[in-house]
Amino acid sequence: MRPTPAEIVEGLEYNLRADLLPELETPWAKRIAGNMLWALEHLKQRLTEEHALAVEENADLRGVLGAAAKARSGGGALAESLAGVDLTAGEAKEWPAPEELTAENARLRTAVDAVVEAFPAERDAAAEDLWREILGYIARQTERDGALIEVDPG
Amino acid sequence: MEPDTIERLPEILREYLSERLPEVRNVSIHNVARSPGGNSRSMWFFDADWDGDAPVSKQLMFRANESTCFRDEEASLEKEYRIFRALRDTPVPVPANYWYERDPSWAGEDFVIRQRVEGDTNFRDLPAESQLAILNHFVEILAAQHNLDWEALGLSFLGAPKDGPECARMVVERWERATQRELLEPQPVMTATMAWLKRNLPTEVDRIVLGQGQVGPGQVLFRDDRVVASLDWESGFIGDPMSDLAYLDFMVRPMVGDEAMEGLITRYGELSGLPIRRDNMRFYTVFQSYWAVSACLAAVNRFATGEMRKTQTLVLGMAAPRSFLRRMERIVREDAA
Repeated sequence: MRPTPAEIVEGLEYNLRADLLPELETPWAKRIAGNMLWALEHLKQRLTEEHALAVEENADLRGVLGAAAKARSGGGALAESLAGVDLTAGEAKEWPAPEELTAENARLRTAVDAVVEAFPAERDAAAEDLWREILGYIARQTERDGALIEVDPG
Repeated sequence: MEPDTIERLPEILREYLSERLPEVRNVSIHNVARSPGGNSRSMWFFDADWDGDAPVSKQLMFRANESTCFRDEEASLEKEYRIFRALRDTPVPVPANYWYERDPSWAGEDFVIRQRVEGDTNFRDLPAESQLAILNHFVEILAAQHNLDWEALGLSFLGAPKDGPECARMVVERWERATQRELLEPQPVMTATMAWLKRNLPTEVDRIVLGQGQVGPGQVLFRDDRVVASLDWESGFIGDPMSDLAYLDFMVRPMVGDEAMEGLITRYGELSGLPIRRDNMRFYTVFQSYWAVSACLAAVNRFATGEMRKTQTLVLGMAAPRSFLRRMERIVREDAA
């Protein structure tokens, strides 16, 4: 439907910036208006990008769990530590609903958390490799979150 | 605070001061204004006049317990008040804290009435020579703070580690609990960072000191290139002095550059008599980032659950921790490279 939600948010941003902010007199009121502008810009980013980023993150998490499953089949201290961890990566749906993505994301993140917590105290090469996989996901996720959060409200 | 309490605040303050100062007459309150500074607790500036032996005018501050990010378990207003009181008459300049009020019938929550010290907080826009002069003075204060006899000042209630290894272990355990309490969804970045912290706990601590938690620009008022008041003691702790130095380093180095920062660290070492333990500083750079993100998770929790659905809570919870999160992620990843 037109206007899109993002277009409506832009209208709200315009009125806040052009009509309300100049009328505000106290530093506190101006600060709160600035917060509202940030929230609107963040909301716009979420409306346009969150779904695609969530699909990407879930694929990334499945990759980590796949690497963990491979490490578990390799033997050694890491394999032993991961013995009781649920490493089910699951299948990505072709057209997931937002709530399905969120539920799947929580499940996958919980599984990755369990992998981190199961790491052996002494790390061999296989453990270091898997740790780097996990940190790679974390770096990419920090970027993905940044795209939604590090917005410039102008 | 509730809107009707905010509206009635001048009257609340007049009645409160009249009750607290029974020997004076004609208490009047003027210029009540919300402070735009600070991210955690709500503050209002106000002026108070009264007649006693002579007319008195005071510039004061009302600091409410309502916090966007902190929980009492980790950083209560009462704890901060007690630290401020203990620091009076020490080399650490602090505003006078007059009253801590627990009775909710006044304003619906705990609050503190404190002296309002004249000074600036906007460090970033100062010329470089002013920045350095303020930082040099601040380092003197920090070294003096780390030489205080905190037991004699009555600060053992903050929880004293019994030895060096316990310094890091205590704070890590405290903030791991806080994180688990606040999380609304799994956060592998926090889990992985906690794993890193537990693998890298420092054990060598040369002196167990009173730390501030968040230190330096943003936490001090300055005037004429001198620090006139050290603010925000709600994160105060007893532990490793390298924690404060790490916080100062990562906040200040990007502004003043490597050479000036190293000079400040050297000077701190000379004044405090403490060796600079770089490994401990590295640990605390990650830890301080972890706890900042963790505190902001409480803001996310408060906003999302409806406990405090205000945009200041949202922005603090989501936008404020980004630089801490990036720093934490970068160091943990560097170690694995």
